[in-house]
Amino acid sequence: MFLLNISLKLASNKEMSRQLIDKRIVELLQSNEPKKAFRLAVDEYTESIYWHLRRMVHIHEDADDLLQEVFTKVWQKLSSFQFKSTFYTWIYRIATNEALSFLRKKRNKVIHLSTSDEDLHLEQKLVADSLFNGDEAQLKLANALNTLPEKQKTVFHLRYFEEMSYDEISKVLNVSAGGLRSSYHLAVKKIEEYLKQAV
Amino acid sequence: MKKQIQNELEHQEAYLLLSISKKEMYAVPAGYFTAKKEDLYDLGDNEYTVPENYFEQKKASLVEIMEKDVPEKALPKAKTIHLKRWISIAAAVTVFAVSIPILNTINFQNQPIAQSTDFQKILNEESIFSDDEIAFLTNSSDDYFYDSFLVETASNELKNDDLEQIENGSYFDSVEYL
Repeated sequence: MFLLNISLKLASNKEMSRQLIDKRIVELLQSNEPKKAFRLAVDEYTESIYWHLRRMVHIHEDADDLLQEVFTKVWQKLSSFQFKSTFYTWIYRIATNEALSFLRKKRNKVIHLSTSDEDLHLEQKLVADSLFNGDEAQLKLANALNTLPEKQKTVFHLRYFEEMSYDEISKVLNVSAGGLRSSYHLAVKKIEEYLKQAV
Repeated sequence: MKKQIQNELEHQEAYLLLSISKKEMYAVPAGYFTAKKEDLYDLGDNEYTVPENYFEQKKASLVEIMEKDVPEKALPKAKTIHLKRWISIAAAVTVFAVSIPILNTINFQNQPIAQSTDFQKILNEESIFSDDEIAFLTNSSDDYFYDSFLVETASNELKNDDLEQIENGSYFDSVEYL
């Protein structure tokens, strides 16, 4: 309970700080200062968006390219941002769409591999990658995530790693919060089963 | 607050279930984020510029083009379709009319001369042929000559010289028909 309280306080502080920055970005956009708004967005979101992309595509170079794409789109669309959603969910929506579109293109290019071949392929790639610091359990988790359907995988990423609320995920993915909740639990069960078998 | 606690409990549940450290498993090259942020700032700094009043002038010129083109293009298009239809109908009728006599000529030309009505008329008008000869000639002119040749050779028995002449093609010059 003590840990839960600390965790809640930290999450709450993080949430407040993000809300303040988003508010400032919106103010700058409304006062017709898109350059300043963009710089603030780069300062605030470069790292979190990078990690979100990296966990989805695994390889640093791919995540780096996608990060560039995401911020190029943010700059291009900044003037048409309609303040209907928060800046936070808007930028995550762009990033998630870019990552999913990249993964689809990549999957179409690769000759069809069986699921076990795919796991082996990813495992070999990660082990060989000098920028992978994970332990064995994390390697298994990455493999387990790779076996999930696209939607469940995305929901799991946003909930587990990004620690987004279901309401926020529903705004990013444009799906009802109830559906997301069941999708997340299904993903957790599947990962758990995969890890049991792997051990 | 209640909602937030519920969310957090669900998250903790998943975390405990998986029992996996949430320490970041990926790394980035040293100084990556500092350099990347500098790159990304450039996206906002390098704005493309256009000449002064470019959009106003462009819009005006586009509107001008539209006003000129619309009435001229819309009407002739409809007319062209109309005319094209009539031209194709007229062409089809002409082709049909012209093709009838041509087809007749082709028929006449393909008919064997011996069976043509003109040839029979000529034979009838000339009194040198008897009715039997005319009937024989009009039946098949090729057979007539061939048969007469057989008659000739059978009755007189071909000599060696004749055979040579036949082979040379000069025999027919000297044969007297019936």
